[in-house]
Amino acid sequence: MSLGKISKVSRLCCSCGVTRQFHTNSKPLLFYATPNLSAEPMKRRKKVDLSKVIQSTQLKIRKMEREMRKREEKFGRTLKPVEEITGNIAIRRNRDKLRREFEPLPVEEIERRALLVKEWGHYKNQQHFTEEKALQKAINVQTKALNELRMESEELYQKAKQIHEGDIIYQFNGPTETPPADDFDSPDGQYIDTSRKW
Amino acid sequence: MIRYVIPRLSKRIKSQKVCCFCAKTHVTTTQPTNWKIAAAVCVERYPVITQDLTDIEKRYQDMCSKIDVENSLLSVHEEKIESEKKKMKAKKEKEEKGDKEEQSSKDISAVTAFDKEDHWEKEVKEYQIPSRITEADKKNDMKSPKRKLDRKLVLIVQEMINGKEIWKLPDGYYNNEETLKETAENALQQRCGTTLKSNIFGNAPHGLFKYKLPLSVRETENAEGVKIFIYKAEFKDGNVDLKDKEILDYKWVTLEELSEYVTPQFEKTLKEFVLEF
Repeated sequence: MSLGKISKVSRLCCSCGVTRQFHTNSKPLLFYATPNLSAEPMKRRKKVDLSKVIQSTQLKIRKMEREMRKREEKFGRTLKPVEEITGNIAIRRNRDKLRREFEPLPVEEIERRALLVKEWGHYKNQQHFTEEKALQKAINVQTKALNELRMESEELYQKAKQIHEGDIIYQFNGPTETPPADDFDSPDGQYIDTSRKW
Repeated sequence: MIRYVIPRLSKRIKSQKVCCFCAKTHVTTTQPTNWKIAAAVCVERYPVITQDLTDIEKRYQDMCSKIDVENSLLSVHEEKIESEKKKMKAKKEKEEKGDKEEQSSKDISAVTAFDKEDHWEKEVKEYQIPSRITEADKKNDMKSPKRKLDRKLVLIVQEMINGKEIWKLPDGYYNNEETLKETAENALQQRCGTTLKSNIFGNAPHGLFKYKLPLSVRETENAEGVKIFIYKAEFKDGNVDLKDKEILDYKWVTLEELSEYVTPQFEKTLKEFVLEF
């Protein structure tokens, strides 16, 4: 190691408090130079002709375009329709013909309807509040019952407080217009696959 | 007035002590209470069919359906009917003119829209829609859970207590079961048998009915009164079995009919948490 280098190193190490004149190590302490990694010799770059590259890419693009044109000719420009969105096209075309004919509503009827909507809103609002009130009352009654139970027995209270897992998944078939028929075997329907293949 | 208020306040303070750890009031359980614990089950049969519409609901529904019709388009079926009508007219006109040869070969569509309608009508007639008024309604059978399908029904039972016939919910005293829910389940099974299938909701009681025992009985029973914790249950299937004779009679009643059987206080507590909407 040349003198100049050492002096540089010693200056570097100065801040670390290592300023010894000689050392048993081959390198100053606290200074570790990483060994050279043996690298691959650099490859010589090929000289690329720009014009040739451009030509080849253009050729590729042209090929692709040709293929796309072919496909378009084959399938047309129409996309695969989504039946749910497009709906029945015949109905959409004849929309105006399919309208029902009505005489224009008299003013009284319009007025009556507007008033009825208001009345309905009022009715529903009232219903909502009464229901909310009753529910709140039911909750209060339950908490009161639980508190009373706690006064009698802490153990029973703790057990009553636990969640009943069976009730978390709860199914209820709502009220229907007519009651279900007794012993009714529903006939087997037919399954017809009408989906088109593309 | 002041004399009346102060003792009540002081009582309340005594029963609640402020916790020294969290500075919250806890209800103390150290006081020896001598209330008897009981559990009752309120079995509810939920409405099976829709309720009749009220006046405003009817009017609003009527208006909505009218608006729907006004905004709607002719359906495919309706359109077919219209076109068939037109064809029939054209046919008649041709017949009047005397061209009988042409009409037979053309427009004979295999199934006309009218034929379809006839077929549908026949199909509907084959299926008998069950009536909204059941046989139990016609006979006024209070013991059938199939009466008054559009209302919520509650099961009440009649028991002999101290020589009196009393209507109440199926209930039983707490008998060192693990949970209060078990007490309720056992009570329901004892009173109503195993044929009645129901499902008790939750572990916590939904309501409470408290009453004090008469002074003469208090010493013999060793209790100040009885706390009945009421559970709600959903009726599933079956009916009450009267074989065991724990109970004399039973009835499925609506909330309005309840007042004829139970005391006003009990009716009030029931109606606080047995809701119908």
